[in-house]
Formats: sequence, structure tokens, C-alpha cells
Amino acid sequence: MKIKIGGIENDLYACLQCGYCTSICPVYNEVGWESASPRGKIFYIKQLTQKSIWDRILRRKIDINDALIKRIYQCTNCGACEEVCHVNNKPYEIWGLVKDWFYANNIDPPEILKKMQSTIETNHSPYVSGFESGSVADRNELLIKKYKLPEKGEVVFFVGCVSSYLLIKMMNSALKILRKSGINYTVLKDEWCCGNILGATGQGKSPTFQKSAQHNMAAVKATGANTLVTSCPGCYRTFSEMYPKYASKPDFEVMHFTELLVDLIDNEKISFKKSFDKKIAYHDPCELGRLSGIYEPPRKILENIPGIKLTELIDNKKDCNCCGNGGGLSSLEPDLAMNISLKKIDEVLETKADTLVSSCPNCRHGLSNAILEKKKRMSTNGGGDLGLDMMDITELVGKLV
Amino acid sequence: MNRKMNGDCEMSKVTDEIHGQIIGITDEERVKIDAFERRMYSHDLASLPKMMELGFKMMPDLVVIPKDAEEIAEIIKIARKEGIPVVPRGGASWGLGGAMPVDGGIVIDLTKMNKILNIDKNNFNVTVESGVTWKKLYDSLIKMGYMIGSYPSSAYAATIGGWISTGGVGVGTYKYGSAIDHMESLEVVLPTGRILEIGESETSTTGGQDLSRLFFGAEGTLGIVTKARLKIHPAPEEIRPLSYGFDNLKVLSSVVKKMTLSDVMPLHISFLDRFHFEFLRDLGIEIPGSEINDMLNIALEGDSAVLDLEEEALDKIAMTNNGKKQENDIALHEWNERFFELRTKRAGPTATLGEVFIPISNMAEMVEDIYKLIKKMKLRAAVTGMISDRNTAVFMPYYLSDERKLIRNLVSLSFIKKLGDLAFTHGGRPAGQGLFFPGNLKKTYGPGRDTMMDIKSVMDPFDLMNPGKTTEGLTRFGIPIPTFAMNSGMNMMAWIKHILTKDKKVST
Repeated sequence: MKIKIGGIENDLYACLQCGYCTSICPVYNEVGWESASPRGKIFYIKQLTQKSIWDRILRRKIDINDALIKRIYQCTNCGACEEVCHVNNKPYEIWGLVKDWFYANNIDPPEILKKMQSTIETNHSPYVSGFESGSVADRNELLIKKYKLPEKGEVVFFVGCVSSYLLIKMMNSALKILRKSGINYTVLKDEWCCGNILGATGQGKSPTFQKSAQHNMAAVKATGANTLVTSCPGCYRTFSEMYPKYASKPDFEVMHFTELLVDLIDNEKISFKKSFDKKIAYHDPCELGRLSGIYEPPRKILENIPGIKLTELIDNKKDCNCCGNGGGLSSLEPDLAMNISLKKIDEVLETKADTLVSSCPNCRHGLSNAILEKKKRMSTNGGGDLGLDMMDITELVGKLV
Repeated sequence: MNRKMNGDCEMSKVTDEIHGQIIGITDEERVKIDAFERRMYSHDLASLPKMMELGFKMMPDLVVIPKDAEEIAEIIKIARKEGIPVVPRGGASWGLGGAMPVDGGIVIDLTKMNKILNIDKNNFNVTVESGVTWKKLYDSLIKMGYMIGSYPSSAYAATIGGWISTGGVGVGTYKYGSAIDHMESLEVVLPTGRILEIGESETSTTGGQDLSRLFFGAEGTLGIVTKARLKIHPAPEEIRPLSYGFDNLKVLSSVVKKMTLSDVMPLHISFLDRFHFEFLRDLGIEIPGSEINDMLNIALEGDSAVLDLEEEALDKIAMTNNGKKQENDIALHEWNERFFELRTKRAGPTATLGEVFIPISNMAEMVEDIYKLIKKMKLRAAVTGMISDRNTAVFMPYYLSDERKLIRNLVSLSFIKKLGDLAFTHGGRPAGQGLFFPGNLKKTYGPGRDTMMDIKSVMDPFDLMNPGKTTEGLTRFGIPIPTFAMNSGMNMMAWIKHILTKDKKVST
């Protein structure tokens, strides 16, 4: 019978079905079917909420089926649809509420996302094992032994899982910058996965997410810090938006690393010792740009680096195209995510930049893989040269201070 | 014929065998027959009550995403052999049912034929596949220093083929004409499966009939447009938006008349009444400027030095009629909002838009009559529109309602019909026929409509190409919607709306 999903009815009825979102949706543009577009999904969800006796009479089969469930999760949460929406809808937030409703009504997310919950529950990281720095315990030990950080600090650096286990360079760069800056900082004694992937896939009310939220916030409190800084826009949004929404509001300030860097530059706590004579294109991570409104700090940092020639992608800032790896899509459908990333790389190559810089470990990871993949496809022996490197802004700054 | 049950218990016109043949032409990835996906293609912009399905089989039996004209030709040949309707679909951003099946069949989704094939800088034309959106084409050309003269206000979603087929007007039509004025040649697939390249040769017309004109406004009933070669123009040094506020639309109309008589040739002229801005304000949407006026928006285009003179001339006309020139940021905001004419829809949350063409000389009288109609029907409505050339005003009034209030919403629909009647009274006509208004064709063209039907029956004798549209409203049982029944039904509905209580916040 009629399905009632709280908080979305007005948006469903407001939708004009104009299709502007279809033209901009990275997933729809790859998949090609109307059901993969925000417009199509809204149309169908509205049908679900309108079920009546007429459906029986007309034998209209409208139901929550596997195809629909697949489409709801098949989204990078990039928010591009919101920017062009005729009636100011936020489609990705509608999917968020639908996913929450699914969870509350025992409709499981796709297997791989569900499994992630149990992995995070047991490992406190979304990864099973076998990455650069091994397990959470290994990472914790490394931090203690190598960096000998104090138990207390004014600023706490939240490393994030990608930087901890897949891109350890990013963690090291950030810590190097913090050390050079001379500010009073530390890390968590035992940092758990923030749970972003759970919050983004309807599992914000799961015990696992709740535990992560409680654990991490208590751990921050134990350090006595009044500010948490992270180089991951995913973790940033988990602390600033998901914890307040699903758990409780943190009683400390949450900052993205680029915001801190601007402070450090402005207060002359760090300075660039070397120049970087390259042409750089900057990619706005969706969760940092469109979803958090942080566009200027990364640009300001780049402009301060001697030697750099900064160029903008044709679609930049609020129009920046997604790298394809958000919302858990790179786990759910790696091929689809890769195709979106490859398109992005083509777009970057058009600017003739030789270095692509972003400020998100997830974008960094997905896009460097896409560069490798593109090189592989360019020549049979995998040795093609694109003349393009990828770096996170923390790596770049870490190299030069 | 061996027909099978298909997902939602509808008898499908597409058998396993036909399904297999279509996969053979394309591939498995690009053909869908599951009910979930087909449901997505059972509608366009209009939100129709599901009871419509008593009369129309809006769900297609199969949806296919072809990659070129050759594939489409082969699919059409099968459809013709098997007697299956074929419905071409572009961005589906029209509201008159043009891309919606009325008797099931095959929907051909053209949006993946979206390549810009060639930009010929020397001969000033561009060759595109018909599924390219106007926005994408515009952006690609501007980047290279060129411009397409006009485009629909739904350019983000509307495709090249869609706008050609619906024959509409849009942004820039005032100066550069509509899609037809940009068409040099078309590639079309006929209902026989024959692929034609029609229109002017590379240079200019050399006699013989230009068949490409047949497809402008044919709403996909004569064939499927698959490619177009369009004229382009050099990008201007500047596009300068201007806005003037007036006390009411009648004064605004008289100013428009004077402007169209002057030798200034703006790119675009449009207007929005104060009720539109009030709806925006009610929604809490920020609009620059503190005062609410009836707004005349003009975009000039060309060399800055020339624009200075043109602006001065327009200022003079506007000021002598108590026009209030708006700040630049307001004008720019209005220009950027040209793609978002129905931002107010949320206030409904249902919005229904009518579109009629009126001779400029009768614009002021039409304004008066539209407001009278709105008042009589007690609607919450706003009047917007544009000037599409020196002698044509296009009115696009819309009313807000709530589709959840079934009767109230249904009877309000008669506003669109009544608006059409007003247009005829003032020497104009409603725009577009689609599924709902083929009856207007006779009124507009008289015996010309019979000739259109003759052309249709010669080109598509089995009536399989987008059946039920443009020349005849047709239900799933092949029974035409009688014009008199439509008319008397609509009049009855208008009367019922009149005796109902006022819509909340009536706008007159």
C-alpha cells in the first residue's frame, strides 16, 4: 500500500521533471537509463507514495524492487543535481532520507555496503586488511612510535581511513606541516573510522555508526582539544553534519585542513621554502565544495606557493564535475566509478595542466588510479605518458614547507 | 501473434522474438523491457492522473537507446512489419505528451546520440546529432568564439531534435528566429525506415522542395530527426541584460510595442508579472531589489559601443512610460534565471503552464483578458512571456495548484483551453498540439490541417510514428478524442472551477 517516507513529500511534488539534473548527473551520463537519473528516481518514488486503488484497477505494478534499490544507492552524492534544480530540490538528500527509511524498514542496502558495516564494527576501519599501514592498531602504534605525540593538544588531527591505510603519504605530509607550524596538536590515541560511508548509505542509525560517533567524540574530548582538523572532506562532513544528524553535536570546532593551512599562512606559521614550477589544475571535491561551501581556502593556498601557475577547469567550483568515487560508489561499482574518473581526467588534460591537485584523499585515490588506468590503456605495455601527476594539497604543501 | 504478458500484466506488443531482433540490431545493454524501467518513460513534464491510463497506454512495451540512424531505421522496419507504434523521445521536457506513448509500443530514447560532430568555422555551421542538448551546444560554441542564435528556455534538457520537432520559440528568437531559421539540413529516418539527408546544400538553396521544413513542428509524427546541420554566428563582444520595472503589464505592453517599432534589435525580450515575484518571495527565494514590479527583461548583444547606443534608445522609450530602470545586478540575475521560469512551482506544488501566440498589436487587450480569466476562475496565477519577433507576443501564464486535490486540480486544467480560446479571439493561436490539443490545428489552419493529415497518411500510412499526436488526439483504442467533447468538457470544468471557492492567495 501507500508508502510514506518522512520529509520528502514536498520535494517529490515540487519536482518539475524538467530533466536539468539528468544532463548533469555523472552516474546517469554513464548508465544512460532514465531510472539512473535524479528525475527518474523522484518520479518513481513519488509513484510509491501515491499508491491507491487505481493501481489495482489499472494493474500498475509499482513497488520497492531490486532495480529501484540499486538505483537509490547508485549515486556519488556529488550534489551537482542541486545546482541546476529548477525548484531548489536537493536530490541526494532525498535519497538520504529514502535510505534511512529503507534501513528503518529492514530493506538492506546492497551487500557490499552492508558488509562494510560489519567490517567497521570489528576492524574500526572499512578495510579488511593488507594495506600500507595494516590495521588500526598498527597505524596507532606507528603514530605513537614515530611521532611521539603528546596525549593532550589544542588541535587534534583526525587522520581518516584513506590517509591512514591507503595513502600514508598524505598522513605523513599533514603531520609534517603540523610539526613545522609549531602549533599545539596531537592525534587520537585510537582513531576509529568516522562512519561516513554508513551515514551516506542509510546506516547512520546503525549501532556501528553510533558507536563510532560516541568513541571518536569521547576520544577528542580526552585530548582536551577545542578544534578537530582533518584533510578528508568525508570525515569533515561526518563530524560537522552526520554526527549532529544521527548521533549528537560535537562540542568542538571542526575544520578542514585547507582552512587551517590558510590560517597558518596568514599568521606566518608556515612558509614555503621551495618553489613549484608547474601548471596546476585544481579539482573541487564534492564534499568540500558543493556540500560544504569551501572553495576559496585551497585556491588561496595554491596562490601562495611560489612558482605555481594555477589554472581552473572549465567546470569549476559549484559546477565542478565529480570524480566518481563518492557515496561509496567506488566500492559498490568500481567500473562505473572508474569511467566517471576517466572522464574527469580527460577534462583535466584539456587544460594542459601537468599536475592535478585536490583536497580529498578519496578523490586523490580514485583519480590517481584513473591516471594509471588511462596510461595502461594508452599503450600495450602500460607505459604511456599522460604528462599528468596527481597530488593532494597536503602532499604538495608538505613537500614545500 | 504470439503476445506475452509483460511485467505489469499489460499485453505487450513486443514479443520475445521482436525483443530478440531489436537486441540483435543494438545490444542487450541498450534495450529494456522490465516494467520498472518502462514506467520511467511513460510520461513527460506533465504530471497526469493515473486514471489517464484508462484511455491511454502510456507505458511503452520496450525502450531502446540507439546509437545512430542506421539502428533506428532497422528498428522502425521491424515496428512497421509488426504494426508497433514508435515514439521518439528527446529530453522529455515538454508538457504536452509529445514524447509519451498513447498506445504502448517502442520508445526510442535519443539522448545518447549526443555528439557534436563538426564545427565548421569557415562556413559557419555546426553538425550535431539530434540528442545533443541546446545547453551543451551553446557552451561548446561559446568556448570557441561562436554562438547559436537561439535556444529553448529548457536548454539544459531540451535536445536539438526535440526543439525542432516541437517547433517552439525561445531565448534569442527575437533576433535570430527559431530552430527552423538555423536549420540548414536534417538527417531523418522516415516511417518506412529510409534515411534521408534533406535541406539546403552547403551553400544555398538551389530549387526543389526543402523537405526539412516538414519536420519542424511535426512532433515526431512524420519521422525521427537524427542529425542537424545548423547555422552558427560569431560570439558577440558583449551580451548586456537590461531590466525595467512597470506598474502593470498593460503599460509594459505599450512599451514593448514602441520598442518593436524602433530599430533596436535585442537578442531577447521577455516579461514577468509581479505575481511571479510574489510567489518567489512567498517561497523565501531571494530576489535582488526591494521593490516588486512587473518586469521587462531585455538582452542586447553585439559590440559594446553599439550596445551603448541601443541601451540609450531603450531607456528613453521605457522612461517616457514611467519605466524604472533596474540595477545591473537585478538585470543580470534575471538573465541568469532565463532557464528557470517555473522556479515558483514549489509554491503549488503543481504548476500548469499555457502558451499562446498573439499579434503584438493585441498584446495589451490580451493582458486584460487573461487577468479577467484568472479572476473568474479564482486561480493563483502569474503571467509571463516573451516577444518572439517584431509582431508576436508569446504569453506563458501559469497557475499553481495542488495535484493532490484532484477535482480542484482537474477543473483548473480548463484554464489552458480557455486561454487558447482567448488567443483565437485576439487573432492568435495556442502553441503546440501534442496529445491534448490537436483540435486546435483545424482552428488555426483550417483546410491546411486536412493537408497536414494527407501528408501524414502518405508518409506514415499505418499511423505508427508517434500516433495520436499533432494532427489527431488518439486513445489507446484508436478512437480519436472528439473536438466537441473536449470543448464542452473543458467549458464544463471551467464553470465548476468558477463555482468552487477561491484558491488560496488568489493573485488578482
